[in-house]
Amino acid sequence: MDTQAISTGLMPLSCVGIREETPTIRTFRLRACSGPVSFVPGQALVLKVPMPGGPLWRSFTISGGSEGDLHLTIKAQAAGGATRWLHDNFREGDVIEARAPRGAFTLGLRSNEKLAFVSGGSGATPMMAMLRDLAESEPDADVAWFHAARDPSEMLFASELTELQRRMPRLSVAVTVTRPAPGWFGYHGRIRRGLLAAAVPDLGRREVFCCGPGGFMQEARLIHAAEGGVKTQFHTESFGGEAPVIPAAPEPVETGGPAHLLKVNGRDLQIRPVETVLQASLRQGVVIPCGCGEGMCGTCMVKLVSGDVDARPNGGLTADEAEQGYILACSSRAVSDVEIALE
Amino acid sequence: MLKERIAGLLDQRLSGHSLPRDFYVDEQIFQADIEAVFETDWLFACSTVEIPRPGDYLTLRVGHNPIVVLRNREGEVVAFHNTCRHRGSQLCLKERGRANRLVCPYHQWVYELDGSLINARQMPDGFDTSGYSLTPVHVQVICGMVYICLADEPPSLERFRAGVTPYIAPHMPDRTKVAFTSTIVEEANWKLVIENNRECYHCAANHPELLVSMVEFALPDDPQAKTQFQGLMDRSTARWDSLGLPHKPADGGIEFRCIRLPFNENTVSFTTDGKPACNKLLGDFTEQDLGSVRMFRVPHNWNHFLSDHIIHFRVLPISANRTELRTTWLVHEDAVEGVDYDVEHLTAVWLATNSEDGMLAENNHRGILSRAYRPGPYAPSEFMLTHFTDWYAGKMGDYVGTPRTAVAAE
Repeated sequence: MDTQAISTGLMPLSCVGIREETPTIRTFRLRACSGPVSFVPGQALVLKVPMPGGPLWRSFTISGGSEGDLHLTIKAQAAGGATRWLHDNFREGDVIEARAPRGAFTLGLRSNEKLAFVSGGSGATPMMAMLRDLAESEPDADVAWFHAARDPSEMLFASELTELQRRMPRLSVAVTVTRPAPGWFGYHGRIRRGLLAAAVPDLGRREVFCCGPGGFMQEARLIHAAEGGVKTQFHTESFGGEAPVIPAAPEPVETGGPAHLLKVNGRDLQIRPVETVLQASLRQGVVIPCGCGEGMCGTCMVKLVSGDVDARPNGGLTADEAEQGYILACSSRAVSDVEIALE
Repeated sequence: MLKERIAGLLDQRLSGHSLPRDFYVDEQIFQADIEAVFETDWLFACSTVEIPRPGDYLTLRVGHNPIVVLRNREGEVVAFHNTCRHRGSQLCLKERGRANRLVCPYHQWVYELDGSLINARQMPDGFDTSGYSLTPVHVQVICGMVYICLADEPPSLERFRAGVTPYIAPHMPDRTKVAFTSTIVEEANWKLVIENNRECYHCAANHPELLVSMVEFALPDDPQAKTQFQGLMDRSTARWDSLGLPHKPADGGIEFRCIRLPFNENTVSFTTDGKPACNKLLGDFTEQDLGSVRMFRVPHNWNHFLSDHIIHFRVLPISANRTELRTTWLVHEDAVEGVDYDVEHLTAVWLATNSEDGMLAENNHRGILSRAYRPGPYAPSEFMLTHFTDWYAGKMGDYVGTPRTAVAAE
């Protein structure tokens, strides 16, 4: 993998094209000012969205790439949010800052020939990235894709999927919508076992990559198990779109042993054994930019200056970053006095 | 004479006690059982999935009556007396099979799957085949269970159907297949086989395999449940309520019983390790542990409906001291043996339990032959035996023409 772009810190990306996918979804084509950026299909990019009230950090799965450019397919959500801002303000020629692509939700996890992609809403984007990759590297791949959308007009990537179907003879695609309209011939209704089993009868024999809202993924996980699927062959990616991400609630204060010292950019704080670096900082008024709260997006990356932490990044750090001493505040707990630096 | 004797025994009988000796061991009374019970009531024959396609059939013997249950060309389940209208030979000889038409193996009279005689070779010209159709047996299908009735005027089954359907339908028995069947013969009267099944007083000492997963109490308000199992019961019922699965005892009186009860902590199925018996769950379930729906119907059928499999038990009397028990295990129709389930793991608990119960019933029968036998009192946990023997006494009372004993409902 050619990772010549800066792998830590921020890289400026300029918008070199915008495509309308549906009335509410656009694909932004981004080019790094520093040269081609590589990524593994399924990985995400954290954008620093320059909102009027201050920057918001948001993760977006990379839906594809070409010639070193990165494609982000983004659905405009409620007014006042980052996705709406991008739709309304981010234009060709504009520059935005981002962290390097990261995430472990990739085909590298695969252990089964037969795949099932199960996606809800904008959870289709990592599937599309993986599918484009498979179309190149393994056009005979046996992939069954089940996608749940709200209404037919929101069906993502319809024309490109048609093209991929031509190239991938064993690709099957089934779509369900919760608001069918005349002219819709696919499934309708929310994800449920009977529907998924009808669309993908051998789901239990397939390895599932699932992305969508939390409840959707939980249901898909239960269905895969109920169909006889192997638990270790069910993979999820939990962020998509702009669902508000709330850091895990702090643990009750009484629990845990004696606190350690937590030094953040020279300021002395306390950190309890049960809380994360992020929780301890927020509790004491030091704001560390954060995203998913689950160790996946990399937004809360901080430098560990000294001390030891129990770090559980969930794919949100690249190997380079970990080696260089970065940790994710949301998924690190102090096991000694610790000093960190926000860059 | 026999009827007078039975009436006398019924007069001696005390409700809440085991029956007078001759009801268990006498061959003449056995014949009366067949006529009073098995030729009048609805009987469980099999699951519809045992005969999935047109022409599939299954045979059984009700007393001296050979019966064939089959799937006709329209896909409906029908049943006939399995005896040729020529000179009475049995038509279908195997326990299960498939036939395009039913052909008598003796002189090759040919019957269509609807029972009509369509060919009788060597019979004279003008022989009217229309008068020689097979004799039909009444059939009702309830949640994939085939019930047959030999009576001319069968009793209503509607209360039973309405009572059990909400419990069983979510398990989608129509979308299952047979994983295994077992038939054993016990040297014991059929009522002892049923009585043994209707109580778990004997479980602690005799069923180590079953008690891995099965809770011993039979009702949610069992005093034993109060102390030991209340937390488990409360958690289970809250979960079932949230899934819309009924669990409280159905109002079956002494005719039938239907209830959903939990498994022991950390067990989800009838297996020797408490782990799932089949990874592919029934119907549209996504919950591994739904306890089990326990359903019993007089005279001779009990069942378990789990999240991952179904078990049917059918008892048929052979003689006063011989009884056949047939057990059928069903799993999801698309489950694959060796991948989703292992037959040994699926069947080990109930094969062992059936065998243990067989020995208990045989010991019981031999002990009742003693001249010292006197009917003994049932324990409170044996309340279902009171239901069963009261029901039986009512049937025998009807048979001998004495006024039916008033019986208290559950």
